[in-house]
Amino acid sequence: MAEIQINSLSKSFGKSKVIKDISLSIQSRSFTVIVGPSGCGKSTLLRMIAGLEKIDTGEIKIAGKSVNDLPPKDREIAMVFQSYALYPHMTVFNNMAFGLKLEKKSKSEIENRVKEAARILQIENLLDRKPKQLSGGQRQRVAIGRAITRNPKVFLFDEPLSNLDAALRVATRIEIANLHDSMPDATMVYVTHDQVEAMTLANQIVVLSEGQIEQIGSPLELYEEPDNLFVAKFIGSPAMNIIPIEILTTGINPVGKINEKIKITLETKFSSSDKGREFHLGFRPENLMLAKTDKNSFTADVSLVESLGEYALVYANIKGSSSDYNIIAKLLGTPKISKGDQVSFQIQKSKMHLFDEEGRRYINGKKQV
Amino acid sequence: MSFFSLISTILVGVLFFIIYFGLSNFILDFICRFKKNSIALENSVRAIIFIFPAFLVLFIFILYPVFETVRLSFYDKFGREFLGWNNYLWAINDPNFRRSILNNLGWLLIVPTLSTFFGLVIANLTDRIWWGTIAKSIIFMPMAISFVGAGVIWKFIYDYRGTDDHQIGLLNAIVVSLGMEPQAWLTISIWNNLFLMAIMIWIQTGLALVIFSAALRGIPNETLEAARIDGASEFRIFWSIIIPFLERTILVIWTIITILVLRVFDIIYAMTNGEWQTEVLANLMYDWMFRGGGDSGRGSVLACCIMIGVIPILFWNLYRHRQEQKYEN
Repeated sequence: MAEIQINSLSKSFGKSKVIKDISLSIQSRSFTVIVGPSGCGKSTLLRMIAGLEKIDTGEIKIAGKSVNDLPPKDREIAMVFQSYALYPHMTVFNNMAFGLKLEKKSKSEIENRVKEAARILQIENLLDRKPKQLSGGQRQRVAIGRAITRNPKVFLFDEPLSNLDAALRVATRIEIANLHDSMPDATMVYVTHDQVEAMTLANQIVVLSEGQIEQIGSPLELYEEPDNLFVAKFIGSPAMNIIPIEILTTGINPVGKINEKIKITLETKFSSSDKGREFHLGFRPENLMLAKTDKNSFTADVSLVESLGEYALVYANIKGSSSDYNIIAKLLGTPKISKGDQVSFQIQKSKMHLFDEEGRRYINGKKQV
Repeated sequence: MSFFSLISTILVGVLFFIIYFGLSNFILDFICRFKKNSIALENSVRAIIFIFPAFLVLFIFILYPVFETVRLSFYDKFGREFLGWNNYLWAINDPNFRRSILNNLGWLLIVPTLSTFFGLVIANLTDRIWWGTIAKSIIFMPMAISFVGAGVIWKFIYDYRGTDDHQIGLLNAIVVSLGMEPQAWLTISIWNNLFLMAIMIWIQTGLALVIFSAALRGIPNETLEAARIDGASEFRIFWSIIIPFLERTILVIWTIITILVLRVFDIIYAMTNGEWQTEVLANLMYDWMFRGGGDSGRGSVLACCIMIGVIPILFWNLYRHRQEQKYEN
């Protein structure tokens, strides 16, 4: 059992504040992915949990115990680095055994634990080699193996797949998911900038931006109910379409205006004071369909079609009142659309997201807290 | 030489080489115009044209003197009469020569080891403090001083005046202030060798320090952090991670200083001139070669001894270099 409790944590490097008053609770046995664009402070947060960065203010507790003043080795953690960080002059076996040797474990126990980890990761035949003689994927497995042998309470992963090529990344991602299943007692914290890794691995995602938490939730929660514009744009690929909309009427079947010609009926309940307000309308590319009726549809000029067989990505322009808006539609199969066409789209019912002027999700006349 | 004649000498030299390279290449091009299908031959001839001047200089100033020294070591003091192995037999039986060999061995063991050790430790420690750069600059500074200059500085440290006089030497000043008898440091046999070695270590630690500092930057931070998470103490990280990482650098520095130490001359010459059993091969060679009328035979024998000492280190270096290349391919 090793839940991680982070209470109002802050950190600055010189004048720049990297972590701004973050509070977060990571459940024992969970797989938590911290995701965000580069420079958002996610690696710093992980390194603070590991004890590699000092804490300015706030507190980190692992398994109920404050670790603020504990050195890394006493925190019962193991970390897998982006660059693998293997010891180049040691064989794979010694790389994995180094931590155990320092703990003064018996020779037979070291051998058993290393062999067991090697078996799980299928690197038994590599134990005598040096890191130089291994491929990138094999090196990352050794790095994971080094973490496993120490049998820690918490696993920390710092972008472990970034240095691998695309195919290997998918394969290793699946292995890490399996690893979590085979070690149900371990708490795993995983940092990445890749939202696909976050969506596939996590049971809890923490979206970080500029040192602050934007949203915490399960992958599908984030996907279907993003709290704000940042999460809406960050999760999902291609990103959610966002266009401004002005509310014309409130009450039953409220109507919003994108431009003089395009008016869309919304499902949100507005208060009467919302009339005339500007909102952001969000809808995912796969929730756009070719319009079957005129009702609630709008036309757009197609600027590019990427046909991938399984689906096609249609890039189109909507003429707005002040400027043009680019939208992307993801249409299944191979629609007969080409560049320059005028196409009529409809947004799938109940798949519209509304955000207020400040970018926060807007539901039923209330701001999301 | 006046300024004008200096300029004209340089101009003549440059002109000569322009003519040499231009003409020889032109002739080669001209010949090759009639001989088709000889690109390989043309390339190798052109290579020889470009290498030849450098090789000539190398031959005149390095290879020829080596052979001439070996030849002279078998001749008498004027280089006229052939003596066979007599000069070498003389050396083996000469007490000064034996002393020099012993002293040189001492220098070889102690100076490179301690310089490398101090350089490594200081490089590692100065990386952790804010005034590390200042400390490094100060430690590196002796590198800019010539050995003779260093000798003069250290003469003040080891200086000895009679017991009734004021002690101006730093070491004796300290000793006297502690209430002990002042010593004539450089005359205390065996120990005085160590005092001389200290000067060389003082100078060479700076070299080791600078190279190690650069090499330390090459160790990825994440590797050190991984070791820290694995539970390694700072000393253990230094011993088990950093030193193996720097293995090549350590060997390079150790070799550089070893070769330098084998030829150690200036410090001995400036400080003791080989008196009080501090003689080393290079100083002994200088003595025989140029003092008291000079004996080119015995001087050459000593020169050969120094050369023979360097050869194994050179071969070992070449061997390592080749191994590394093999590994990289």
